[in-house]
Amino acid sequence: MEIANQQKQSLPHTQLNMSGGREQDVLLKALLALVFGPIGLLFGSLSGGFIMIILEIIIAILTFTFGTLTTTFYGLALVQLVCTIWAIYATLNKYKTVEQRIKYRNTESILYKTSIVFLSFIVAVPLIIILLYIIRQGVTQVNWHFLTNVPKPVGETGGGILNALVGTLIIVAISAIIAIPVGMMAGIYLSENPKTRLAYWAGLCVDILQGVPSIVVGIVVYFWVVKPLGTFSAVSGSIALAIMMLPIVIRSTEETLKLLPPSLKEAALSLGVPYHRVIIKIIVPCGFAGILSGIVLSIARVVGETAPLLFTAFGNPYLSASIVKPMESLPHLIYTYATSPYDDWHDLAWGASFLLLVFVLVLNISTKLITKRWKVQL
Amino acid sequence: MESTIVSAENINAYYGDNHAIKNVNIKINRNEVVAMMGPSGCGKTTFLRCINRMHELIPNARAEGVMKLDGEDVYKMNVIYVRYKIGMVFQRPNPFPNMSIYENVIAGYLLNGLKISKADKDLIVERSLTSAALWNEVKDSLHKKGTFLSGGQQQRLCIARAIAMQPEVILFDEPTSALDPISTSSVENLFHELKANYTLIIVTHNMQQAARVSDRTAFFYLGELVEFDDTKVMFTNPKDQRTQNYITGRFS
Repeated sequence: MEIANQQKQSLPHTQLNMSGGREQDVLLKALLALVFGPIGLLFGSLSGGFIMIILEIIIAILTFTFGTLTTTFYGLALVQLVCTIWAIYATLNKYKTVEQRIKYRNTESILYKTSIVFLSFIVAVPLIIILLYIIRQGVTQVNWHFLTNVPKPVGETGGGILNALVGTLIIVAISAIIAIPVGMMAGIYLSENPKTRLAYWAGLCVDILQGVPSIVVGIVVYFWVVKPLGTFSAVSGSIALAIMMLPIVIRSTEETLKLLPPSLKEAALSLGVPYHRVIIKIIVPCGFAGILSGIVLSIARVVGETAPLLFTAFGNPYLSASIVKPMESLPHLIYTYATSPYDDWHDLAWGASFLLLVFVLVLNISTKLITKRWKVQL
Repeated sequence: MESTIVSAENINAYYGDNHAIKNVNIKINRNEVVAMMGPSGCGKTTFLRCINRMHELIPNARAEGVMKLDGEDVYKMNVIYVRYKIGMVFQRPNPFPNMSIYENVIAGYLLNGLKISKADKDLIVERSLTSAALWNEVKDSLHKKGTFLSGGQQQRLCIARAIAMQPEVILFDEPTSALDPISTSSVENLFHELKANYTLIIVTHNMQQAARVSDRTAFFYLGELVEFDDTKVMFTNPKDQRTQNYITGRFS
């Protein structure tokens, strides 16, 4: 009881004792916002200023694109008005006593929570739209004939995408065989020696590699592999995809292993275990769930890449299992069929898109299930 | 019977330019429990790590001087052999999370790729867990993950893991500071039983613990070994003023 009383008494002391300059302050902030808009609002409310700057830009672009100059003017005037009200509100708020502020605390927090939930739902909307559209267009195409036949020549109906299915599997498998060992070892090195100069430059290169456009990777591999060999080949496509996989595998391995407590390594070393065995038997198994999901993520990333394959694996209307010959792949098939003028080829492209989607989904879900077994409780 | 097993001669340790341990000389006898106490940052953990060369894991750390185990210079031996002979238990329980209790106990063999028969494995697991006073609690769940145990059980599992390698010396780096009082007392009781077969060196912040479990106590202060004597003498009649001050709580 006494404590409650004390708290009640102590509350008014925490209020800012500046009520003398209150009217002046409100007027000043309101004027600033009225004249300079969002920039003036920055003085009254920092976060409000930034929000209104973004809003102003969006309104300006929208009205400029879809409306006339008059709509732009009205839009910006509206922003100016909102800024002024916001500035007055924020400045008044500053002079409120603690009780007055607490009164609306619950409402505010509910408001924030709702907006966060709403915004996270918005993230899922494009995904759901894409999924539904592809399923609607593609699912009718998929049948046994579609899966087990190569495309028919132009003019004949029917035909399937067996060549692309086999090609994608071969190309992605080879690129995984190239990228996983290299990427994991580089990731282990980066997490084990984070302070060395080599690690600094390697990390930088990984970041840059991640930003290289996929078409550029394709062109580079074209000059490295395709030109010297004199022919488009599946293996050159695999090399291009492996280069794209590397940064994802490296970073995910590194980040996973960095999270492992150093005490694990100490425990193993204190048992007289040699360093390389500590890595192989303790560090990698304990981080395996994270490494595996990084690998799957990288496969899912490259399985739908068309650009690096345009100059390397090229495409092949016939079933081929030779890795030194051109090979068809799903994304390349989708690209060529979707840009063709024939309706039944468009249908094939939709079917292939659906298959690609299913492949990525199955890969992701199965990894989630498998890694559950590997997950370690630290 | 009183034979020296670990002897440190003029040990100096540095972290970069920081002189962490200053000229420590100490002789530890076989089958005794030695407690090392002192305020934080006084170098007792560093000294402990210098015994089994774990200090080498820390970048910039180096140790000078002669550390002998059974008359052999530790710094000239193969580091793997040193750590076979000197086990270590850490501040926080750290069982391997990817292994079962059974595998954790014989982790030293598994990880080193030493081939032993199934019967030998069972024997080692049972003996080590019994020595670590854990056998009765876990004998029915040997193939569960070690991380499902409570903190005190995990720490005893780590002790069992160290015992399984049959070392001569076991180092304890503040083994009970992350445990609750009940687990602490079970680990402390264990020290008395382990004394029969092993030499124990225990780093602790806790003076009462040092007084309870140890035969002899070493007091470190600012990287120096201030005093090393029988625990009874140390706590009743310390020779050095600094020890006196620490024990009576005049500085921490």
